[in-house]
Amino acid sequence: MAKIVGVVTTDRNGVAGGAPIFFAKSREDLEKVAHMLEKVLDCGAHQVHEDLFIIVDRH
Amino acid sequence: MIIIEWLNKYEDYASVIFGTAFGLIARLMMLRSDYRQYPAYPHGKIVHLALGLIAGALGAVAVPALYHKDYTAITFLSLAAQQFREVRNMERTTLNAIDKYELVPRGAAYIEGIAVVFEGRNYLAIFAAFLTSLASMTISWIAGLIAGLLSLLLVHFFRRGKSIQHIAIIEMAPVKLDGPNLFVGDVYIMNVGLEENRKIIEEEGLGFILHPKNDNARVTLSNLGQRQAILHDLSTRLGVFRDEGDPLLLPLAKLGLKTGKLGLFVLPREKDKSVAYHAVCNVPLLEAAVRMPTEANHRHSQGAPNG
Repeated sequence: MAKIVGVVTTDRNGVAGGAPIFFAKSREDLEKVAHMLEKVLDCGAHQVHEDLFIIVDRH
Repeated sequence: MIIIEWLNKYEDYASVIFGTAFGLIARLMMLRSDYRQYPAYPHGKIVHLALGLIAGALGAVAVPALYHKDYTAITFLSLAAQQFREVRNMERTTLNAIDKYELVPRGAAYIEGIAVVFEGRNYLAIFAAFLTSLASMTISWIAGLIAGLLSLLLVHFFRRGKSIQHIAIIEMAPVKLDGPNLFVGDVYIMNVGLEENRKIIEEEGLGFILHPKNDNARVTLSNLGQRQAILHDLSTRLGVFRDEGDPLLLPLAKLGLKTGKLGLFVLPREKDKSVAYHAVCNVPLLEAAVRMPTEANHRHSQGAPNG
């Protein structure tokens, strides 16, 4: 089953919970962090909405 | 002249020689290395030719042995069956080992299909050898030659399997991105988060929609192994625009649940639409994926329950 291994957001109040959460300063920053995490973790970055990305492990 | 005399004199040897030769030729005919690139390795070929020779010899020897009332010789054939089951195992193991390192894996169903074909082709070689040997033993060596050629024709006919174009109508469809959501035609494929991936997908992606021709085809197309086989074949023929560590640049096949049509999203290296189209058409149908539910249901409704 797929697992959420990271959450990247610009909206501090929109998220909480078990997976590591990364706060980004802006939407560009958000893209950058998500990109980095995608490459490093070899996991897919999916956009829930413009201010929230989840990194999903499907291995 | 001497050869012909010899053939007339020693019909046992003649039938064995012809049988073995035609068995080997039959195996050789069926041993193609094509875009599937298997068995492309020279040593892989040698292995299969050697086994083909053994198969031919076994089929050929059986007839003279039976002719001389040496019935125990037939047990050798069971040994052959054992041997060729081993071939299937060997193919399965090799392909499974390689599969882990493919950018777009073949998938277990495809591997199983290939392994079964390898085994089946050895039996066809035995069959060709047996027929040849039988004809040259009972009639004459010329009849053996003719039977051999006929069996080659037969083998050639059996070699061909069906392909996707027999069960589905294939059409190209535009790859569309609606925000992060990727569609091929109106079939939803996946959510792509990063802008750079979306750009690559927009530039490089190709889409197909496969409409099943009937209800049986619908089941076959929805089989995961068959879908993976399509993706693998397409990726070997056209190359694939991806690398390890790009989990979202992945060729995918998704089903439109309501309609039963299959949306195919690929990222080819060579973006040649007509080549891609023909590649999809010629993907072999996997034996493991073919189901005939309509036939079973038809039979079932004939013996309708009554109470």
